[in-house]
Amino acid sequence: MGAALSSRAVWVSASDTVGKLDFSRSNEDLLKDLCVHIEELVRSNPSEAGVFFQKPLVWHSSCPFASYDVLNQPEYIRNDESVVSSEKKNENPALSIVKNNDGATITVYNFKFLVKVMSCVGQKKLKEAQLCLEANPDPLTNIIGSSFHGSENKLLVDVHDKLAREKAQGNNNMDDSTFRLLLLINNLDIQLMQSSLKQLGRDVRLTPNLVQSEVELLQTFSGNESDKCLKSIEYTSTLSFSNGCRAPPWRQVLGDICYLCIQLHDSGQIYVTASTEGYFMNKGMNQGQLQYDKTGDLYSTLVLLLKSYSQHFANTIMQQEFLSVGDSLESEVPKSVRRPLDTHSVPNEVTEATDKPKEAVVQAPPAKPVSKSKKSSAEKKQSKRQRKQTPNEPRFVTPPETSGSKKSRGQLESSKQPNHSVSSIHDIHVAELSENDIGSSSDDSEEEEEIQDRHPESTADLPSEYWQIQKLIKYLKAGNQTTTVIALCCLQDFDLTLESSHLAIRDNGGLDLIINLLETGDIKCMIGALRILRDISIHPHTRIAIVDLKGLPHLVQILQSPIRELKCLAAETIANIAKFKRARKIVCINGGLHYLVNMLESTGRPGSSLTGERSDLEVARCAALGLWSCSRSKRSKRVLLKTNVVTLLGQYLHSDEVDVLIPVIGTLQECATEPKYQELIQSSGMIKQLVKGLHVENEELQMHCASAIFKCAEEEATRQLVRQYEGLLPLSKRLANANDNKDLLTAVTGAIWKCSKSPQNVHELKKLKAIEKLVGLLSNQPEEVLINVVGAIAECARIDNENRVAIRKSGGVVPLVQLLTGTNQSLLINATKAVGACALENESMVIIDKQDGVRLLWSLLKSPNPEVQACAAWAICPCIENAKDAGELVRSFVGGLELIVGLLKSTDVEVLAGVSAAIAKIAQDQENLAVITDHGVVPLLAQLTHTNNDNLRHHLADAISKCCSWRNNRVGFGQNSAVAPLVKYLCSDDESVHRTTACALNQLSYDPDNCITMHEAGVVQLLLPMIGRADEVLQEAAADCISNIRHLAMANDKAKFK
Amino acid sequence: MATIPELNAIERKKLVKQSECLYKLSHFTQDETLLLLYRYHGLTSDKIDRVLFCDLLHDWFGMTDDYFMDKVFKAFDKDSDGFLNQEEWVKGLSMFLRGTLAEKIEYCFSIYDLNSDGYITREEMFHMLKNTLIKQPTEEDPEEGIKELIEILMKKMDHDNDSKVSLQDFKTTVEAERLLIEAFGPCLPEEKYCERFAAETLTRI
Repeated sequence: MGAALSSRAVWVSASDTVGKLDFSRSNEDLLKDLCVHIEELVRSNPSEAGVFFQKPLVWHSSCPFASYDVLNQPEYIRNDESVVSSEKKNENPALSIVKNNDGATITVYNFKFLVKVMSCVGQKKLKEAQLCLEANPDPLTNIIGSSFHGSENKLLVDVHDKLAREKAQGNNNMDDSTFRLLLLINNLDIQLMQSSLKQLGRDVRLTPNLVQSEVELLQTFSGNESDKCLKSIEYTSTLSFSNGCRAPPWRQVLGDICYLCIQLHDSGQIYVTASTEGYFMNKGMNQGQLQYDKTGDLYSTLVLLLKSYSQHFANTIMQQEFLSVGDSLESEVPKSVRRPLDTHSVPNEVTEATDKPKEAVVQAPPAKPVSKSKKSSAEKKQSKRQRKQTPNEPRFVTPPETSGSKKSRGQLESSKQPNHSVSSIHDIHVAELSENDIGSSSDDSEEEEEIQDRHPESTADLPSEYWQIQKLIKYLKAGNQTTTVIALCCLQDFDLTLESSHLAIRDNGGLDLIINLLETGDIKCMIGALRILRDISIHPHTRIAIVDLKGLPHLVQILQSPIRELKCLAAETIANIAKFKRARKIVCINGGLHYLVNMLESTGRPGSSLTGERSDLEVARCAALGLWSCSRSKRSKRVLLKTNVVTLLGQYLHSDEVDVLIPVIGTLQECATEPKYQELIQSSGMIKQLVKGLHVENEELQMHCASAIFKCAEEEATRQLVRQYEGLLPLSKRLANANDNKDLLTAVTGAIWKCSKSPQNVHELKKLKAIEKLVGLLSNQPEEVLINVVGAIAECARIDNENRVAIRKSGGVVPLVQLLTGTNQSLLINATKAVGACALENESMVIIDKQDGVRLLWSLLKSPNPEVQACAAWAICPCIENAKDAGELVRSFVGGLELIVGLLKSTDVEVLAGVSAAIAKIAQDQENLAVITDHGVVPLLAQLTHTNNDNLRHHLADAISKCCSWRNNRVGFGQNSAVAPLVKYLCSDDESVHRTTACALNQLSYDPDNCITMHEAGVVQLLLPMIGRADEVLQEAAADCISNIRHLAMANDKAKFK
Repeated sequence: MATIPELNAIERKKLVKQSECLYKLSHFTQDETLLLLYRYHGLTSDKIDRVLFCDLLHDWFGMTDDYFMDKVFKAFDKDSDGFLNQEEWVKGLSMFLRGTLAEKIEYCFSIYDLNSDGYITREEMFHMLKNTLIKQPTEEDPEEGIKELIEILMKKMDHDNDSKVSLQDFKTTVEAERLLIEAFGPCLPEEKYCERFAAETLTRI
């Protein structure tokens, strides 16, 4: 009772009403329970009920004395003022009620009489009980006396011991029945507590947090496997209000918290409402609207509801263990995501929570939809890196069995976003793929995302240098200028290219210190700090760390310093750091590019003897290095365009120092991806220097020169210049070294490819026997090289038949055809062009045929890439023309004709032109023509006639004219209104269009209806002048067409006048 | 820009004569020497003493470390009479503003060699560096830190392995690593101050 009273009764502690029970529902219940139980106790245990208390319960009754008049049995001694029981012990009456001014004072010594008193007052029982308790706050002490009242927990044990002792001693202060009474009261206590628990349980209402925790728990048990309890569980709405509810406000008023859509394994889909009273099923969705009406019972937990509804759920939920939550999610997260996540959660454990933010992939981006959004991967990574470490609180109440270890929390956070992490990995792959696109030749290597975090080494493995470096860092921290300079100089003695040195510097904030030194303005400290930064910024992690610590803006500031040594060191450091996008952006924003360009025009003092002398060339070299790194980003290129950087760089091209030339040319070739730069380079006469650079014996230099030429050769003028300066010779010489430097080979072959777009260059290359060398490179080379080589071969073969023969003779045809089976899109495009070009030569065609080349080309028509389709179609044309038994060949491809006719539905103009050209060739074989007519070529061709593209017009007209020779195709074209648009083609400027159109119209004019259409469209006027043209085919076709029209007109007249 | 002080003809002639002798001993031209002498004259009618010189070092050359400024004075004051006469003035400033690397090395060495025995020993290093570390709250003994630093320095500088740094050792070290020329304390002015002084004093209007 003591426990129950002290825990449940809510006492008011106002100063003037000390010891009053608060008037509340729970107290009321308590009192009721108490009364009921005590009565029960008395009834069932009469002997205990009669046990006398050590001290009486005394209180002031609120009932008038008269109410106790009922106590008129003989055992009471009554008089006007009091009622006293006759039962006594030690002169104390068991009960005495004494009248006083307002009511009575009651003194009771045992439960029996207490109950009797209660029964007297009737309705006011509760009030009396309240008063009694208020007057005697600790009834237990009253009952057994203060000597026995020890600690609550061991009370019974103590009492028992005391009793035994006293009995042994012969005292009879407390006898057995008192002890039994105590036990009974203890039971009473427990019962009271239990009933109060039940009440509390009844009073609990659902809250949004509880709902969320339950939903999330069930989500861990959901999945498509049959051993999972349910398929899926989701909220119907992704929005939630600030109070955590997801139900609309007018439903919240009625107590709804949220709505869930649950898919079960055996019972389909149900909709459940979670409200403050409990969970119940509702009527579900009807035409997209949720019906809120309740169907079914109310359940206090979701698990109960699901158990009752789904047998499968009931069975499996019993088997579910409470896994540590980290484990269950771990199995869902794909392996590719796990490694970066693992390494990130390890530093969580090892480092303190206050550590600087490391490259944490783990983070919850604020309010982003969980769909896989294709943002730029750098942006995503940037937002991730900028976020600081959170304390990693678990986002929901984990089941009590799980341990809240940091590792599982870390994985919890991270794996809660599997979509994000996975999509970032996808973005990485996308970024990597785009790097393979050599055709556009933009280098964006070494993006931040590719850098995985390193595992921090365990302390035992660290070399002694680590500790020495750490000591020196301490001097940096604590020392003044002199000591700092000494420490910086000593730091340089260590091999700073080792990763352990970097670790040593970065831990404990060494990097921060060094960067802070940049702001000091003390030249010696700055020089020392810059030297170290330059050496350590070779490592990707350190670069990122430097940028995170806001080191870049300082470096950019230093670029403006009048002291050369500082400028050079800063530029070199920036060159090392700016190898990833974010860094380049920062440099650009802070105006670093302009400062670097200014350095190219360097003036100023060579520097004092103390700070080291740097020559002009040195300064320019460092500036060029800086520009080279920075110019990788498009934005920087744009900014640099506005300066005169190209001219400035061009000045240095005349120097002989390879060290200077490499960064200068490197920068130029980097910028040359933009057409404006290409123009500038060409117009400022740098091609000559670039070609000169090809002769220098330094491979890196050669590579950059070749790269620059490759990019600039998009321009016709450049190509001519390259030839004029005899650049093709060294390029072709380099082809001979097939096993060397692959980068160099890529650049050289690229340059040759682009140059070969000019016929004169092809001629030159032929003279240099470059073609044979190119063919030699067709095997065992990486894809980048192959793309360029095949491109070059294609260009050469296209122009000159002798080249084709040369290719064939050097055995180039077979490998080219084999390349048609590859997957690299750029390579396929070039390969189809090459094969198509070779097919123009008869003997090569034989080889192609033997190698099944035509079939391969045909299957490329199925490619999803329209460029590949178009090139394949173009390549097919010469194949069909030149192959033996071309008709047979074409027919042998199952579904081939249908495929190619189907391509007429494509939207890409190039594809349409190529396909039309191919159809024109196919239609020369009558059987094939029949087949494609069956496939509906006539209406398809007719649909395409509304075009302004001359290339397409040319081939389309050709196709139409060839198709007319089968049966009723002429009529078909007329019916599909192909005729009138064709007439318009005659207005175009292109001669080839005229020719084929005239042929088409000629063919079509054999049908009278077409003649009429044509005539109405005014064809005669257009065709007449063509009769006088130089092209014989055109003359004949035009004349023939007009004669047909004339015949019809004459026949008509004749019929009229009959 | 140099302001020509008010001089009468005799004094001026005297100074011009002095400049003729002195400029050969320095890296200055005669004209510059003359301007320097004018400056000297403008500062004091007699000779420059330690206090005045230290003030000058502070105002013109931005030096703040009293201990070393004192030593600079001593280095300038070749005859150790407690005053700087014109010759010492001109020579000293020539070294400050236009000294070759070798000269500066010798000058610094002479400052750091506290007892002028031709060697810098550990004790001398300790004496110079002992106040350079701020005592960390976690550190018990800041002197330990300095001693360790001195060990590192000794290893770096002592090329002939005799546990002390001779002039040759010092020279070799500094030629390899220029920043260490003021390894033990600031005794040379920074470039910007030199430039400013040169602009103010050595150029005529």
